[in-house]
Amino acid sequence: MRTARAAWVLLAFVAMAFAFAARRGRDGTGAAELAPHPPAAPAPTPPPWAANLPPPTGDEVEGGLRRAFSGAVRPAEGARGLAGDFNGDGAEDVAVSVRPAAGRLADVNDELANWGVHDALDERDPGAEPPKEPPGRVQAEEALLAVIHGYGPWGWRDERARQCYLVRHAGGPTLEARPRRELLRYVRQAVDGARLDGDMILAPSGGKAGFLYWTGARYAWHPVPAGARAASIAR
Amino acid sequence: MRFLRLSLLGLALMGFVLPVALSQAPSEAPTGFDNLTNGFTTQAQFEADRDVFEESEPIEEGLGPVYNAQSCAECHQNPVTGAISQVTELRAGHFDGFNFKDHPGGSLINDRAIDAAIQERVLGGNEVRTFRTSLNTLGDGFVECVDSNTFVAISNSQPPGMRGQFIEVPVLEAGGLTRGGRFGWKNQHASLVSFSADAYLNEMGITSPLQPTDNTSNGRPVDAFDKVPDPEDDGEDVEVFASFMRATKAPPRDEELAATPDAKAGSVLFDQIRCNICHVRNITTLPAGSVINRGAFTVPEALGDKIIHPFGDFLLHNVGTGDGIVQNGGQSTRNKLRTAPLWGMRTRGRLMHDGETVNRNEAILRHAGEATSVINSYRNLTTNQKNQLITFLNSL
Repeated sequence: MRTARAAWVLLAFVAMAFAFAARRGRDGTGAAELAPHPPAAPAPTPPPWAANLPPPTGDEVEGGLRRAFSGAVRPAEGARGLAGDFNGDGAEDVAVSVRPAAGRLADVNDELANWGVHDALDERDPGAEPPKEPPGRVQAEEALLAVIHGYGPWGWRDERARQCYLVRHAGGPTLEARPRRELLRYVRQAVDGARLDGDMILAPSGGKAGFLYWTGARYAWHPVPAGARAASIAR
Repeated sequence: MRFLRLSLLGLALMGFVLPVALSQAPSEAPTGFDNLTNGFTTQAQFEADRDVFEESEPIEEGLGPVYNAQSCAECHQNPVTGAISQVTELRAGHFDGFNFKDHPGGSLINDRAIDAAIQERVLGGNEVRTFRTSLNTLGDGFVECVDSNTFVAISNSQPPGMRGQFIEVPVLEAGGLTRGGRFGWKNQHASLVSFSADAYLNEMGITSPLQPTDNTSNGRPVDAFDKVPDPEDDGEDVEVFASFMRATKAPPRDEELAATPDAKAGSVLFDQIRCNICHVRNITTLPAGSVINRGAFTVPEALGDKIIHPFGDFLLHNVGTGDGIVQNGGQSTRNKLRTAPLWGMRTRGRLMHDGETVNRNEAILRHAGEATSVINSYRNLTTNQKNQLITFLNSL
């Protein structure tokens, strides 16, 4: 008899516990969100690039190309590496004219390659329809500009620097790196929507004077505005 | 007899513990591109709120003078109202070598105006320019109900070189008291009411009690063109927008694709190469009844103790794609952006903050900076493994 009574009492308690649990969260009287704990320091912004890095040597550039492009491209004859902070992240980058290595054209054009292939003359507006086809396929022996973005104080020489691009219609023997301040003098309002944070590369194309710059997402070519004399602006 | 008593005692303990434990166990947040409420409001209320979210505002109701769109749904629509679209906004300013300075009139350059005389454009000397894609708002009610300290904990758990930046931003409806930012590409808002009031003003040009002053046109006043007295919304629309977003379900997975061997293998690779350090899989919301937004909102049962899978950490990182713009986070956030939550990614064709990248491989390769080690691991994958990883991404 006593056991039966105890069972009823316990059952009642259990029912009350369920009722209590079911009520939780509905009464709107919960605790207030606590003030955030002080977070640990976030990742440091990239350190300023070392201003006194020596000019790139041919061997260093070849080494960088091997690392970034896995040997899929080779330096063009007589090409020299141009150093600058082309993407404006504070680390030194390198650009050099290249051609596809023998037998590696398919790798260069592989859609899952470790590099992007951009056409410097593709002035696609980001607001426009995306292209149905990739921006052209690289041809055998085509002259390209290879750019390796740097990482940290050692820039493109760092083993971890593997972000790289192949730019069509931009390779050639008369390329020159120029500082960002010169880019700003050239463009003013001319390049809508582009982030103009980096140095530029003077690069003629189709007989016209122009420059290559990083838009924030790709390399694009822009003609030197009429009336601007590249030589004088360059100094 | 003694055995019986012990059994009853055990049962009683279970009876107490089990219900409480069950009530505390978080459950999966509802997902779906199905135009159904998550339970925060009734279906009828949800549909009424959605109508307001989709409503096209005319000039007589306060649209403009400078603006980007006529309704919320113009930018948040694909595949259902509240989600994403291909629409971008333009921001600009100047970097003097040390600090970012807003473009005259603010970094947002509105693409439309109610009169040609006040059309905004990027003025010379403002070389920092970027497009920003519209963000998904589906499931944002759950995100709002995440404890700020959860984001701090996520940040603290990340490797020092990849540690995301947590910022506190004003909650407008709480008199400007601050809370952990989580909405917008720069984490510039912490509550959906604040976000709604901001977007109503900056995207549609409609003032409200929380944002009572119209934007200028490149810094020039537009009062002569504005015939509607401020505030143009009495605050009701802003509340309705927030109510709609709070009632949306989170973006669902493509379950059929997710069940394929390739997607499963890609999911494993995603963690192995440590994409999940920033693209965090699981986050749990605060319990129902918790008071958030500095006292302005209480977590309801529909949003409390829910597990979401945003594939994002809601923290700011520099992955080499920074847009150079500063909003609420100070100069240190100039080149940082909120990790893009990947839920619903399969509905997006234009990727990254500017929509400039149109394929998955290039989007991955665009990551640098804090993501360098992760992306170098991606580069080391075989072609088959890369395809598996991309299949997984396409299931999100």
